[in-house]
Amino acid sequence: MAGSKTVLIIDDEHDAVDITKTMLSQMQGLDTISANDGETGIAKAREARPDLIVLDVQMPGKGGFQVFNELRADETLKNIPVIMLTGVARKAGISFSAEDMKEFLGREPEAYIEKPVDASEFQKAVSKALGLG
Amino acid sequence: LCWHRMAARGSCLSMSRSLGPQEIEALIKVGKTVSTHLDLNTVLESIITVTTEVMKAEAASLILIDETTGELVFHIAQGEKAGALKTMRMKPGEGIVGWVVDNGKPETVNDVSNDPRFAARVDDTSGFTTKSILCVPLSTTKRKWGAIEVLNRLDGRGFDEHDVTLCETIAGQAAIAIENAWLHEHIVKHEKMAAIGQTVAGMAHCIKNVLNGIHGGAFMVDHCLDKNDVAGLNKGWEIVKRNNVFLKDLVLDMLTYAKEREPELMPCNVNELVESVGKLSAAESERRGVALDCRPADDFGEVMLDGRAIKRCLLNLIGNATDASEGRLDPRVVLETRKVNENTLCISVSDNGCGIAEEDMARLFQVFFSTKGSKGTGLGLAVTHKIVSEHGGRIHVESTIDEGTTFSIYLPTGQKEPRG
Repeated sequence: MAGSKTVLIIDDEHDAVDITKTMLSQMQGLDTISANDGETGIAKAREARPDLIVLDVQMPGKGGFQVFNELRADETLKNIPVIMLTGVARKAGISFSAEDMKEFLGREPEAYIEKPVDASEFQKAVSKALGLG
Repeated sequence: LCWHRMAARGSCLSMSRSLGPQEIEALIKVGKTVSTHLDLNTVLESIITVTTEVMKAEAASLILIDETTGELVFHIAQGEKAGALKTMRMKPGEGIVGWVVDNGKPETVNDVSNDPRFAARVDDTSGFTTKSILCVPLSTTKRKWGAIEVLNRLDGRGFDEHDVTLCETIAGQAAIAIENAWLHEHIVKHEKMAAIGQTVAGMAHCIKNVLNGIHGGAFMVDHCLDKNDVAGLNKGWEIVKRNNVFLKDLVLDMLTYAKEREPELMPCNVNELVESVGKLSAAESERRGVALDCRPADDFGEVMLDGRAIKRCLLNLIGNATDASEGRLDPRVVLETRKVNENTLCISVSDNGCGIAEEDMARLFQVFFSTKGSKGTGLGLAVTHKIVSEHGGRIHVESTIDEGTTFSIYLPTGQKEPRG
């Protein structure tokens, strides 16, 4: 469909991918693709050049923070907006705010949404990141 | 540091006469006690013994300030009739010791009957007759801890400046010992609090993931109801149900982990138990495309086990094995029992999954350690290990990266139930 935008969902949980897809399906003109781990996620991003990446922080293997850093370090991918989803940053024993993330990563994702994800909050963040009305 | 401080005190305070060999020996003994013993009460008992001897006194006691009430408590009391003082508490500021603590200065009173500060009720309680008192504060730069009190010189003469200096030197050592013990206790407490904080954070994370599933599943249900999308509705409802089960398991694991408990041993047919676990897991394994083989060995008869707890262990291990092998080529989980010898049986769960990284091996049974992202609670193996240990058994893990893992639970067969 002309003018449609592609969103890449990177999340190890199949359920979470389904939920995110459903939330995106309520918005107009969005195609979704998904990956169940960080490695595949980065490969799919290179291949499909999505307009937005929704990234889960807590994944086995390559975690969300690492994926985010690699996306930002890649010349061809660094301008793709990223929305990060997470529960609690367990290792630090605290939950991160977007400001903490900036300090932690050097770069800030377009949005940082804590679980449980609220659909309207998520959809607003998606609209904003994609520059939709 | 201690000796420097002692030397400093010796040079600052004018001694009326130089220390005698007995006194020097006593000070050395105090210094040694403080540096070699770890138990505070041993140190303080020994310090008071030395003090009584070197001061040639009838009795001596060490009084500490109660942190919460500010009362003065006889922590160590030595000498005739000292026993009665163990439960004695004095009000803040009460008696000569109260004055010394408040003013932070030593005091000698060689005729207590003429001193209005003297708290006669202490003698009334103990039955001891106090004639003279030498009392020095126990304090460090950080805070006031209490005082050391020495009563009645054996030779009947009063306490003098020399005694004060000697006693202050000893009190300086005692105060350092008390402060070190207090600091140590506080560090331990702080570490415990940090551990509790981490546990709570781990739990919060787990619960948030479950909430996300329930919340998201409910959202899907709502959305699909509007659209009349039956397939989507089913999917959403399954997500809600799965998270419900996950939450139930999490709570069960948390309770099992938190409680000190004896296993509820009952006669159990291990093969039947293993088969029932296999049946319970079959649907989930199938959904995830993982073959589950159940291979019970020859009958071992009935064995005394906490069947429910062992079932929990096996479900945890099968869950892990399924996670590790899902999505791989010909994924397979094998649940096996075998007789090791007359007294030991083994239940093993093997998979041909991704294997466990060497650096994760050491932390495998650590609570809230998980490599499974949002799928793991970090409790399963900790709980499994606890249950097996409670049975007097052990767990053996063998794993090769990219080939698979085997968890073997060895359990004592213990007393077999008589047939009949």
